[in-house]
Amino acid sequence: MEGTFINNIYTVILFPLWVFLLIILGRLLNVIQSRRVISLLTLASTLYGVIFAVVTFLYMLKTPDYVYENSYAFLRIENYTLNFGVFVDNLSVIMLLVVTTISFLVQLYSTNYMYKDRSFPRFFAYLNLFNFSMIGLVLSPNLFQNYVFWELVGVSSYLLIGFWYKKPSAADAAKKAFLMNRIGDFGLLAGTIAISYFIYRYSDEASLATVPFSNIGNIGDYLYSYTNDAVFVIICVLLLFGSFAKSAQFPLHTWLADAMEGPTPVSALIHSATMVAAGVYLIARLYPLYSLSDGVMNFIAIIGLITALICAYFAITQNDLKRILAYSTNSQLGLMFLALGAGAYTGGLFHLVTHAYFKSMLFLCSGIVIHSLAHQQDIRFMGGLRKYLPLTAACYLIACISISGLLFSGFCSKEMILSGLLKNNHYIFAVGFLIVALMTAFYMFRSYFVVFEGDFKGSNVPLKSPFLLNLSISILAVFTVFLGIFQKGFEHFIKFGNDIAQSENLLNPVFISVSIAVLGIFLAFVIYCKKNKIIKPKILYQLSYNRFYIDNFYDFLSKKIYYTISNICAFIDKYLVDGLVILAGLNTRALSWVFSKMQTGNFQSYLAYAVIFLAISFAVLMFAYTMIMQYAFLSGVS
Amino acid sequence: MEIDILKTLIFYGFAGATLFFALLSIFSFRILYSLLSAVCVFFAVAGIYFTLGADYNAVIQIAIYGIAVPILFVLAIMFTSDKLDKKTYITVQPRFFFSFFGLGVLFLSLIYLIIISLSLNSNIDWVMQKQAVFINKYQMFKAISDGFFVDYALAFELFSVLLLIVVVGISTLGLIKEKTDD
Amino acid sequence: MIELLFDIGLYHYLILALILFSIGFFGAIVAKNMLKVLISVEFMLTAVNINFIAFAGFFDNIKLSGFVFSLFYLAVGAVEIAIALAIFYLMFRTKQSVNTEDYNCGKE
Repeated sequence: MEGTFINNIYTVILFPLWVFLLIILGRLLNVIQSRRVISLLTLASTLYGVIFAVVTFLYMLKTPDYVYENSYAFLRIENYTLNFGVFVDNLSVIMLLVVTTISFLVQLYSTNYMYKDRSFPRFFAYLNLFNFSMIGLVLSPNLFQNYVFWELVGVSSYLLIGFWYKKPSAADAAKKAFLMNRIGDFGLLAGTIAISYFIYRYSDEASLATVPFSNIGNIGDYLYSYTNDAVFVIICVLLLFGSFAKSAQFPLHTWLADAMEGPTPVSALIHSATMVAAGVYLIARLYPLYSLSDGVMNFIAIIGLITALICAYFAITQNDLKRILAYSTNSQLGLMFLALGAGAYTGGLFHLVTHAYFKSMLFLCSGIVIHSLAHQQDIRFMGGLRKYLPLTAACYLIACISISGLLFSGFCSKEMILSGLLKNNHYIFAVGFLIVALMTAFYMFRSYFVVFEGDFKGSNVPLKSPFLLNLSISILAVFTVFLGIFQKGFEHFIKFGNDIAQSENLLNPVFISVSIAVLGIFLAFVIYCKKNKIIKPKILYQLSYNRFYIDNFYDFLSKKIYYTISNICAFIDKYLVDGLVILAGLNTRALSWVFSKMQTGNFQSYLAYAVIFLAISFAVLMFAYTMIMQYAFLSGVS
Repeated sequence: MEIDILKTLIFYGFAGATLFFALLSIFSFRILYSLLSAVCVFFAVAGIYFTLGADYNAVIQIAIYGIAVPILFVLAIMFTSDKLDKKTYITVQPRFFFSFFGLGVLFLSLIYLIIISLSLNSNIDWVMQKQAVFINKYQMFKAISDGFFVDYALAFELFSVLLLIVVVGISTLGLIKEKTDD
Repeated sequence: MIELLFDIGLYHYLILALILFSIGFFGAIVAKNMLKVLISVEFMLTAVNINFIAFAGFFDNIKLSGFVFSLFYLAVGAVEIAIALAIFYLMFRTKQSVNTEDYNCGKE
């Protein structure tokens, strides 16, 4: 029974693609017009995926260390075979579960949320495209297929961010996200090709040259032995750049906040739970490779810590509700990177799972809030919404508690990370982690208090939230609350080496982190709920509000410097290259002017030219004749 | 080597007359004077032929160039004489200088060729000492008639055909009506 | 060397012909009167004729082919003049001018 499911798991990839094509072609051919049919098809395809994921997951639970691979040769060059297909192991199935369930709930939510939109079918088509590419990504058997779906995910992200393409800010944000991802994708592709090259060149096993995930440990060992340290680190950093761009890590983090221009369900699905987790997923996939070098691991951890710190810092002062959540996502992704880099492999991945649920719930809640306030996103015009949207407020509160690490699933995953950090003696990282936790609790409860407590500051009465919206967030709330139960199981299900999070000395970290979270919540309560006047340190506030001017710096980089270089190039092109062309033209014109002036029509001028030509040729002839005669004369003498 | 000074003087006289009248013909103001100078040139050239022993050629030269052709020119001048004035002298366009320069170069290079061949040709003495041989008049006429009617008979016949064509062609040209404005 | 000037040989005739030819060519280019151009062309023909006869007189005493060809050439020159004058007459009838500057129909 389960074997049937796992043998047909490739249909999970293809079903959303089929629905995508059906919607697009149906739109073109005017076959499918009904929104109900479209949403039902989409939901069916995703539910199909959920069922497969659950059954496969249960099957995997029963048979530990089971790995399923089914692929066919896509490209064959001599003894080099590039396979496309599906690959299922514990990590894939967990990701599959997360992707399909969240996708299903978000689609359920969008069925209502986007119903009034003119481009409803297009939206669902894109969602299906995203589903197809994301499931293809998590089920990739090798790095090349991974890359293909990685790009497809980027494309669907681009399409969905720019869904309201008539809004200039959305179009710009889509372009920004795409370009930022291009930087990372380039690194990923370069790294992939480099690994493939080294393995193919130096290893006897040509089958490893496609970088299959089933054998990544061997590949890492080979690569480590064939290359010197610098090359190895460079390859790893190139690959990591793909992860950094996709998961919006420090140098390339700016696109995620702007990506909030897309519809809220998209933010909930792609830019908080699934796609941005792909970077973490890839690191987990290539973990045996990265873990060979301490430098690479530390690099991951440091980048993650920097991102977590600065993005939490940015989130404190933002006024746009979705932007707060976006920076929160960014910061939590940073924590996952930190966890993976510092060796807390299981903790990082568990945080990925739990974060996916509560962060998508937060986004969906924010969607309800924005919807009920007629697209008002500024939290300064909200307040007191608990009276109008009690269920939303409750869910938001649950998610806030969870993300702060106070209770529920967030507590469990954060504890796992912290204990992992302490176990590996990364005390500096642990301190950084606690600072991030403090800021997280602070800004999350700031948003909660400002939005849901106090007095309502808007002009219109908020709308009631529809049933489907409530249903999806309720289900997510259930996930959020009870996911922590599976912590022990997860530790055994997903592990790297003998890394099992130690639960023995958990008491001290629990105490510290909970008290830190409580401190953050208390501060937020004092400042934002009780409206105590505090002196805002202006410089720090400005720095945070303007996000360290990193965006401005990129603007400067792109607009000023790039434009200057472009202008110089344009100048060269215009006056040097074109100038040469124009000069050639002018030459021709001048010559033709001369020649046309020569054509007087008077026969005597033609005679004169004949004479001149005759004279010149005769002079040349005489010269040559003289030379020849002299040579003959000289040679005759000698 | 003994130089026949009389022969030299005759040659230089005719050559000088030829060149002088040629220049005069080109640089004279009126076209009638040009024509008269040209007739003088043709007579002088006939003299040059005499110095080479080509008496028959000289006579024909005088007959055709000295008398027949000038009559044609006089006819042409007669119906254009009203239009002649000093405006139609010689041009001062750039081609004047160009052609002067070009012909100068041509002339100098040919002179240079002669000097080179004089200095390099080992056979030059034979050429230099070769004199024009005045042969018997009877032999000359025999040779010419042999040439016309035996050796170059075909050319002679073709030439007669050419003359016929020319006669017909010129008659046709004369019959062309003036174009009316339509 | 001076005796070369006085001992009349082939080269003297050749140089004479060359000078006459040059004068004719020059006249054909610079003359503004159509009839003067035709006269200059006659000079050029004559110069060539001198070459024919000079070579024949110096080298070909038996068959005198140069003389024969010179006669042909004379006749061709006369024919050429006749045709040229006929054409000139036609052109003059349309343009009513002897000025060569007016005959720039080669431009079209």
